[in-house]
Amino acid sequence: MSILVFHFMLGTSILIAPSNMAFVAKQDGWLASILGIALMMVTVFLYDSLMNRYPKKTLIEIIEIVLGKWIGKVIGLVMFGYLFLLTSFLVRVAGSFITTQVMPETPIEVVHIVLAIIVMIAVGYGIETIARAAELLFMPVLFLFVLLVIFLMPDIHFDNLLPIMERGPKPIALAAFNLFTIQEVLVFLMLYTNLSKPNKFRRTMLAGVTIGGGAIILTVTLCILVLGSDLTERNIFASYSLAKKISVAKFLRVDAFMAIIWLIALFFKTAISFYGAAVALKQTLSLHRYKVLILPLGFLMLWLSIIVYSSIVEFLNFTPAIWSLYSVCHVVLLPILLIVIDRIRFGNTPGGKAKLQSVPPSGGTAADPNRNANASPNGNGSGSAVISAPNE
Amino acid sequence: MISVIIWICLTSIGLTFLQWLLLFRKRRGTISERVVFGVIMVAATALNIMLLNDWMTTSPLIVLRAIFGPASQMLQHWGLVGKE
Repeated sequence: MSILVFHFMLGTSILIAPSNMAFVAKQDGWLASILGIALMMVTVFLYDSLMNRYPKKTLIEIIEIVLGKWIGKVIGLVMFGYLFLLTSFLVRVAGSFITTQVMPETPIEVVHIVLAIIVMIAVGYGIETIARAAELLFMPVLFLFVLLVIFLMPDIHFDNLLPIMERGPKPIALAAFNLFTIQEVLVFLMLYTNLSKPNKFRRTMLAGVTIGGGAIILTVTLCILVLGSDLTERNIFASYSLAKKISVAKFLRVDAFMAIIWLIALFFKTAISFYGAAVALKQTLSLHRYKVLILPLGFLMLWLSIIVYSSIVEFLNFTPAIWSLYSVCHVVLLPILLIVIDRIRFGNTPGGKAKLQSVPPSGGTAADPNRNANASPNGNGSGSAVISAPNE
Repeated sequence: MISVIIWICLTSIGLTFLQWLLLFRKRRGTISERVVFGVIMVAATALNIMLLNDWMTTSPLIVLRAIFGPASQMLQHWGLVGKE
């Protein structure tokens, strides 16, 4: 799960975060990124305290238990809308990147269709398959990232970080808030029932956030060190522009490394968000299988990914301004609300005994032949929470 | 315009057939599954036709902008107004 969190965090942040950090906080963007990741770690404790109360439930099921059936279904639909919108955004960002930086003559719809098909196939195979693929691709992504950092070392200018805190703490706080709200790791609460060791949730999430956050901090810092805050804020995909600066033997396209890292990470973020959206809708509508929703939601996603915004500039204006507030309602306010209402309604007994007995356990039927709660795909017995038993 | 509508309808029929082939044939879906699938497919088909014929170009994000716009302006003003 840590590896999934790592890929998830890299999904959009590694390419888009540096320019926003530099725009808001200028040369203090690196401080803002550290603060943003620290905020994320705090929210992991928040999620852990919520999920510990209901260890066999996903977020949607907890919402229905705590808020009641009908209000819970409305909030569940809102949560589905958030996850589905996130998935469409990610597909659109991938399309915008490919059509502006790599293949400008390709229609954006083609990129969306290709990515949507791959994501639908991945989600159709289940979260366990996605997790195994993430594990396989973790080392190559990490290797490429380390290579990128090494190749950029000669171009670093530490003067680009000065003067520190020239504009005071407010821009740093705002940039940190913007970075924090585009992480959306709340999605992993939809995967909670797939963990073979739910008691390790906090540890694995923190490990993933630390590694992923470290990569983001390094990327933002490198962008400012190499390009300077002016160039970083003016480049939409600053880290990709950073990679273009590298020249190895005058023929090696190192910017392709950044594109590969980012596309792999974006694929995983999109797949996990789409899986979360499908499971959220399945549980809200009390369906038996989430796989029934993959094809229609994929078709709908194609529409939403085109119409969601008209250009990359509108996206860059929208994300830190509007999406950050919309996202914080789901990733911070909703879990806090659930914890508070749960304590007020049920006290020390999570959900009340009668409620818990009447709500069936999630994660497929008892006769599901694929269900193996202790499955460990890589034989990992080291105590990390492993994704298993796809939530059919 | 007609060709776009035909292509999207064909895609929709193709996806429905694929759904039947992959899921509903092996394990007959419940009524609720089939209803939900049908509703989402019809909505997706209609919306894609409207999009590709330029009948509806307004982004649904306009709702979010209306809700969060004033708060976000205040937040941006708070964070970005500082000494240069």
